[in-house]
Amino acid sequence: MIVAEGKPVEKILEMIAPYKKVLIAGCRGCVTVCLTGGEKEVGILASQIRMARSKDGNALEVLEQTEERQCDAEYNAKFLENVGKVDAIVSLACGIGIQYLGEKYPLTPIYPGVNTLMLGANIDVGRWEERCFACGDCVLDKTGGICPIARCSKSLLNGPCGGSQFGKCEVSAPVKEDIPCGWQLIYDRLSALGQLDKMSEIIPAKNWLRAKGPRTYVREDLTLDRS
Amino acid sequence: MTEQITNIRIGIYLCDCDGKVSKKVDLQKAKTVIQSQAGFDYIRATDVLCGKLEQEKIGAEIDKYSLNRLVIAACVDPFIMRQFLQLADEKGINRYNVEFVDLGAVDSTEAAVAAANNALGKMHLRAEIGYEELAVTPDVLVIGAGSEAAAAATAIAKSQPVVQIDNVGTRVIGLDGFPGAFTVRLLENGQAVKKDFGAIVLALGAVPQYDKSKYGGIELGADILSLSQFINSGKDYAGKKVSFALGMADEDSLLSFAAVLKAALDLKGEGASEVNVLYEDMKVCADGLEQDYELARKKGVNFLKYTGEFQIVRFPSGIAFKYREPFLSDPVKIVADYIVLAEDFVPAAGTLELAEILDIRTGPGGFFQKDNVHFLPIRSNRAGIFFVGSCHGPIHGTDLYNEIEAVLAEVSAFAKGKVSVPSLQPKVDAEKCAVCLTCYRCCPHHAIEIVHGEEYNNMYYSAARMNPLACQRCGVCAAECPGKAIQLPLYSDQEILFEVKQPARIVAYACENSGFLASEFAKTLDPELQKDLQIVEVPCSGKIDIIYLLKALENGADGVMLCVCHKENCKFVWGNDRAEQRKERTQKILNQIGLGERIDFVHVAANQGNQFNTAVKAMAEKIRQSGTNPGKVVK
Amino acid sequence: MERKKALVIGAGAAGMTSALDLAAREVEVFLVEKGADIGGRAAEYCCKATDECNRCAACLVLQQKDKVAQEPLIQVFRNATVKEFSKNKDGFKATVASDGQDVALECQAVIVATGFDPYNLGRRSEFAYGLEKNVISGLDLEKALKEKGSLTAAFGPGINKIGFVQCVGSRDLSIGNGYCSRVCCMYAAKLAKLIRSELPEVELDIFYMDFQSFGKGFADFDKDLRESDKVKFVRAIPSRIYGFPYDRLTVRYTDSLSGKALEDKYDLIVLSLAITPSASSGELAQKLGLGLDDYGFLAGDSGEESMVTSQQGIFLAGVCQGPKDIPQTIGHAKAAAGKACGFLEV
Repeated sequence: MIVAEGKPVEKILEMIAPYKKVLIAGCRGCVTVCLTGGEKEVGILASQIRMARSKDGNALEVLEQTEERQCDAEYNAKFLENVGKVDAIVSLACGIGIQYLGEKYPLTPIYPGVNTLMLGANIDVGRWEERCFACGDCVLDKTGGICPIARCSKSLLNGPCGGSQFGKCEVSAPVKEDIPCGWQLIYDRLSALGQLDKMSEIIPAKNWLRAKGPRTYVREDLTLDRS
Repeated sequence: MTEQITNIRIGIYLCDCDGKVSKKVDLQKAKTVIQSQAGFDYIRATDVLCGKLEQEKIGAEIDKYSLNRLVIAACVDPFIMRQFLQLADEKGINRYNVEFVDLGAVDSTEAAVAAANNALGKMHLRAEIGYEELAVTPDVLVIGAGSEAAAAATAIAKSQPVVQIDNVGTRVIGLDGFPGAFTVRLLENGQAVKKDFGAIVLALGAVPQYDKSKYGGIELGADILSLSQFINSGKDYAGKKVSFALGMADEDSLLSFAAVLKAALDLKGEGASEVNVLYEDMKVCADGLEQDYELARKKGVNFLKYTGEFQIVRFPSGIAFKYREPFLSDPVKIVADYIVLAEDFVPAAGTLELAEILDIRTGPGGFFQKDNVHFLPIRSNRAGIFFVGSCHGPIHGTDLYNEIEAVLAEVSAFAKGKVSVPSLQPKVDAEKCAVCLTCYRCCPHHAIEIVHGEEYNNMYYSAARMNPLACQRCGVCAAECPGKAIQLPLYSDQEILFEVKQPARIVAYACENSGFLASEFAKTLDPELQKDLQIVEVPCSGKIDIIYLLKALENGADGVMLCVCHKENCKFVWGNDRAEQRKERTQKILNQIGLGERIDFVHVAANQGNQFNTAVKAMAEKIRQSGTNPGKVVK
Repeated sequence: MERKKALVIGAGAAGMTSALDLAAREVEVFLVEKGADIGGRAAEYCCKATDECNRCAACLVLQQKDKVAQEPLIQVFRNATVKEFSKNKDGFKATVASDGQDVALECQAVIVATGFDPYNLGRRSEFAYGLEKNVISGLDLEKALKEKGSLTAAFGPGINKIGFVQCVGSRDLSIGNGYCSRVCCMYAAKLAKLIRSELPEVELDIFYMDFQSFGKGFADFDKDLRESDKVKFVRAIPSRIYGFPYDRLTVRYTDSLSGKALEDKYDLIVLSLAITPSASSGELAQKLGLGLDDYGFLAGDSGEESMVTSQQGIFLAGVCQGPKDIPQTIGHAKAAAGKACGFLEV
């Protein structure tokens, strides 16, 4: 799942400063699941910015709408009526959704209400952890199902660096909390699986071109000829 | 899938209460104003509404105008409410479709109109609440091997089928389903099997554990026994001197006291030459203990009080307790053939694992049950799962039997194989449900499941569903839902936000178990104080959504209060903690836009009217300092 | 379907619990309360929460009171007593005098939940109860704290030393009360803790015989009480309390640990009066054909079912059967309601 966090409201207020009427567009996909951009958060942000502008004596009209997925054009079509009424859109979808909704309505300025953070898992209510880098060249088969790219701070492919201490990564200290050393996790898992020999297998240098954009993925067997 | 509200027909009745109301309210004018604003199907104002003839007339009107919802504006007291609810019941209108407006509490025609319109508005927004007939399994699973479990099983077996397992040979490895229809996964002789039960009773007991650190490191041996060793020894102590020590261990319960008193009496009966009991506080606060204590003294058991501590000393010819006799202030030595030491009681093996499997909370000492008065004596955080005996803290004697009977009273509700309950659990709008599991994870009662099917109109063909027998109607799920897909009947977002459309200066969202009752008490102490205050009742502070707080301010309130139960006193486990977290976030939201301090979070119990008033004054002072709310949005 | 009917006598914690449980099973309940309002004694108790709930459970009673008021299946009779009672083939017939009017009721089951009276010191003047205004009972203190909100609001600013006297009428063979009232040590301790949270400097002494502490995590509560809350425990039951000097109280006692006879001055004395059978229980027992135990409490089955009486269809709930704290009372009343439901086959 894509994980996002709300943008600081002062940034959002700055973006929409010139406008009198905006639409806050929520998404019922990943950002609802990660509690950042669903109907509830749309309502909270709307109320907050309404009050902020009211306080500044510069009333702002805010429309609220949440649809299925902003990364699909068909769902984005549902915003048509409201988009026609406003000066600008603030989208609470992930970076994909924001852009894609913007593409649908190119004449209305669109602004991000969230920062898109990572591809992560929902560990428990209110906690998300990164699990995938979308590098385009999966090595999970060699690493006991634990990704060295996403979970090692240096994305090392062949064992930990010297900064692995007591199972933790040395970059932990300046960050909020302990980060487990990805390679310790890999070692432990391989050890549990009886596959420690995989540790001595050298993973060749990665083709990082696959991790770099702009990427397009086409499946000829599926593309439709609409002519 | 919101329940479609079709054909709502509201009747509104205004009562003058024999001239009492018209002193402050022009009832005819109120009627005219309400009439002009429509939103009902029948209206009538009258002098006295609660007379017998009036009741008959109202009954006839309900039939004539096919009314299915009622708003009664009168001097509301429980006696009158009951009368109308009964009348409504006879006419097939259930209690959830009758709303009362207390005209005794308003002091102007405008206020009366506003209150009536508020009730009418809510009545229009209210989803239909029916009753659900549910099939349930009468069978009860009793988990535990000891005497407590056996006693529970025997008692319950009188009313319905019981299966008792020891959780050793046959072990619980999983639980699915809900009260009335639990499926327990068991490991029976190494074989996984599934069995259906309506309710589960945990009676694992507690086990004695000798802790030598409490006795200066003394090891047990041939002549120094733990209390349980002594009880199980089966030896003949005739002619022997036996000394018991109480108070150094097992400080939380009466079990050791009861056991020692019984043992001392038995020893005297068997001809022991001397029986001594060392104690610091003789605990007799359970049925029969004082009597045993009295009898033991009569029979010549010596009760010796120490203060602070004692030593156990060994010398060539035997062993002895040594302690300072407080009254004589001399050291005293009590020689004995056997010394018996009280032990602590700890949860039986497997308690924690079972708690995890069943998703029930544990409390102090690792025993079952949260230390929260709402769960005493026998309830867990999950409906249909109960505790009996020492597994939720060592208990003694008649208290055990009282618990068993209380559990029996609960489980016997399933004995007939079916139950009927009002459908008050939250309803999920599948179109909005992202199946994100937030409600499932936040539910304190494990009352939510994810269901699948064509009828769930979203891309997952799935939605959360609240089980009517497991759900306790706290509304935590509704307040947590990121998609606003969940609505709690009687407290839907629409109904609550309708109440704060034109809020008072201070809006207090108050838990019906604490803050709301405190506000009623507070009103009797200082009615003036609540003039600028609007109370919005919620079933639990865990229902108070961030948007409720913001909307009250956006619509013009200067301050918002959350009046919640004290810490560790939430009837719904963590509703008050969730409310506190939401208050923190909301205050941050206000700080970000410079609205100042406008939210107060108050722990207040039902009997704390004074404290409620103090909190209202503090809030008023806070908003005096912060000034009028500049964030009010003028429409 | 004709609903079954039950009579519940007493609308305190026990009676309300039973009534609500019966109503939940679709039984129509006549709830008879001798006072002007329902709720019973516990409805007058204060909240003892400090920085968190201290588990006195008094709040539960007010929640029940609210539920009873909203329950259409419960009909409450205030200022009411059972005047006549008889049994017939269909159940029971009772005449209830309520607010001066006689009402004839018919029902198929009865739950007695008449609670208790605090020990009546009567002519025993040695504790100066009723003579000195600052000698009060635990119940008086509860009520004052609830009504006024704080000790200072209730008793003025001059309270510097408070004594709690335990076992006044409990465990006292000289008056035939050979039982422990079970709840007093815990409520005295919790009240002391509450007062400590309001007044950090006030001296708090508890005069006791054997401190009856029990319950989950109580060892820790007890330790806190002695250490951080600085509550002093005096093992003695005072022999005399009298007003001296002007506006203070002198307590005379023999410390049973040292054997010394001592006198000490206090500003407020709180007596933990024993839980004794309610004054009307003898008469009620006679009317209903119930027995009494050695101490005058209504006698339930002596074995495992203390809520069952010698009369079929009549059950006991709560403290009328013997001392209990609030959760135990609620448990007992639930059990009694369960028994009644079984009897009524609902």
